Amino acid sequence: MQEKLPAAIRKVWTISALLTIFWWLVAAAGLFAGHILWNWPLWLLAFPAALAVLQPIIMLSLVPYRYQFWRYRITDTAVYMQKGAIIQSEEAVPITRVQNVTLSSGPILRHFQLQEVNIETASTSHKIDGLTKPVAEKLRDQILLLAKEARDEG
Amino acid sequence: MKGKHLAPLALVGMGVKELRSAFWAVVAVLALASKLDWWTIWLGLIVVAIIVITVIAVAVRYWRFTYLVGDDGLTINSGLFEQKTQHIPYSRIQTVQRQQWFFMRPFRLESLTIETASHKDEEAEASLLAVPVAVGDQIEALRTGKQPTTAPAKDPEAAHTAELAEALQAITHPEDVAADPTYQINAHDLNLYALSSVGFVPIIVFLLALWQRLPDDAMTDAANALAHLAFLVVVALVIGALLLGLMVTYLSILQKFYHFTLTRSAQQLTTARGYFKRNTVSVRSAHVQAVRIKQSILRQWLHLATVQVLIASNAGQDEDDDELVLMPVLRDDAALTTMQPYIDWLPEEVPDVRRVPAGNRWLFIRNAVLIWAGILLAGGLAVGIFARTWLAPYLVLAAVILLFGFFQGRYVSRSAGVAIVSPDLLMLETGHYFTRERFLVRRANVQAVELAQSIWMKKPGRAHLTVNVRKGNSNEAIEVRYLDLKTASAVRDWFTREK
Repeated sequence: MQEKLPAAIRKVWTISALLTIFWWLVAAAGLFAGHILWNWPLWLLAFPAALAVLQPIIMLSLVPYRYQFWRYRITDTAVYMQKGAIIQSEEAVPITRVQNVTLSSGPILRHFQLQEVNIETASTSHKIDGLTKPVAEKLRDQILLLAKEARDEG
Repeated sequence: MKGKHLAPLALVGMGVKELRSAFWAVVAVLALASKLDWWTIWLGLIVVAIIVITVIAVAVRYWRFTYLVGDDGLTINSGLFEQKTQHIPYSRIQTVQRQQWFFMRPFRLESLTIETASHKDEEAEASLLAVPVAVGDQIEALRTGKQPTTAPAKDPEAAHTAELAEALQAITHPEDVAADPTYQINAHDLNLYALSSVGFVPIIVFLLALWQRLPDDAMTDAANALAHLAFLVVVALVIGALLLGLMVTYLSILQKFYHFTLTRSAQQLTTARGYFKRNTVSVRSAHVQAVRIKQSILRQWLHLATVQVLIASNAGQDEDDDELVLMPVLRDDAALTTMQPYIDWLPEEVPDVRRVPAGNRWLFIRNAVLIWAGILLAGGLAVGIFARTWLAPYLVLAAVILLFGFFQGRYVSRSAGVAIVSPDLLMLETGHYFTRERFLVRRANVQAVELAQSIWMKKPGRAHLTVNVRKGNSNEAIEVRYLDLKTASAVRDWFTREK
């Protein structure tokens, strides 16, 4: 495995980790509304509060490990991905199975000029979290070209 | 060329769906009226209007829906405001499903459902609610590139051409035509299948054991004999309801797989089943994604198994676990040899399976027990806080469930395994909830392979292996857990053909 993800992906992961705080606060607000409207017990709020602290801490602490481990590689015959932090996985997708490659980017990725790459087969979908735009586009063209060649031969 | 309309019987099918929503609309209107105490002539008019609109909608839908069986594909036109034209080339068809309710039989009509591999949405690409049986025959014939052979007696010339075609086939592909293998279920097998599907025996044994134990415990708790009697009545009712439920399941399986037949023609597998609704599904052998041989623990004891195929279509819905059944019941040791005439890439015999190393088996047991323990702990907290008096029986129950978890984990650990049969064929074995599944997958049908390790699994060299196969409109992730890394990597290398 050779290619690493661009370093900026760490910032993206950091921001998404911090964003989870916001979503848990929304959940807490919902429970609080339930307390006011229908007298739900107030201690229920402890769950989103605890998770609002725990989840970002865990996610943030894993960012460097995730970055360290993430690799991808494209050969003439297959795409390989290696990802994870505590549970680490290796995915192998032969080029001949690739049906579709989609690039997409939300506001955070766009801010760092990154693109998410989704490699789809007839039944599965494999995500590369973020690549710089030229690399992502080159990758897509390369995969689709190889896929076309492989299909024409087969 | 102009398309044809469906048979008028289709109006019933279309109507049922629309009437249901109309019925709810009427109920809503009536509920509102009774709440507001608003009973005027207008109310009647609204109800009549709803019914009229529904009838018109059904009529328009029927009138706008036409189909055309072309030379290279099926074309369907539908819609009034948003007009839709669909063209399905025969070569793209994954499955043709023909369903014939008993009331359609006298009219020689049936429902046709045609699916391709596209998975844009859950609905079938084409659904012809009521068409003459000949339409289905024609589509099947065009799809396989053969003349229809359904009515050879009436048309000797067509029969002759078909014979010629078959003879030609015999010369070019002798192995395909050697015989058209056919299987028809007999009464004994059907009964065996239905009985072992229900899993009667273990439940009854369990209930009997419960029957003998519970009254004694209840006696000590019961304040008087009356309470005891009431308790017995409740238990009897519960058991009665259970038995009734089992009976219904048993009968429904009997009727579902009544006269089950499997046939193979040159490149096509066809299954037919059902008493009230005859359900015929045909799929090209080349489109079979994987073969699954499935055994519940009960069937394992009886040495029986069920053979199914995973296909890129939902035609197997409402069969065993929603997969198309090829052989409802057969002896497990003869499963491969019995199925070989139908699916020729199956191996002759079960290859040597690489099991999960004995040293890793306890991990399955640990996980099963831990998961149950987690659930039981949460339940125990609730019982401890809200229903203290029930804590003792709860603990007994918890102990039984943990023991169950132990055996569950043990079962899974002994079921898991993998075997590379040939450079093009892989066999995977997994266990879930006392059911063992054996998958046979050709390399060409594997979409992706994944190896996963938690950081604690690195040093002992353990890995989870996931093999992804297309199933229905989604993915079947066949996961064999806690293999040794070498075996798992070997499968990945078998897949990628790289070292």
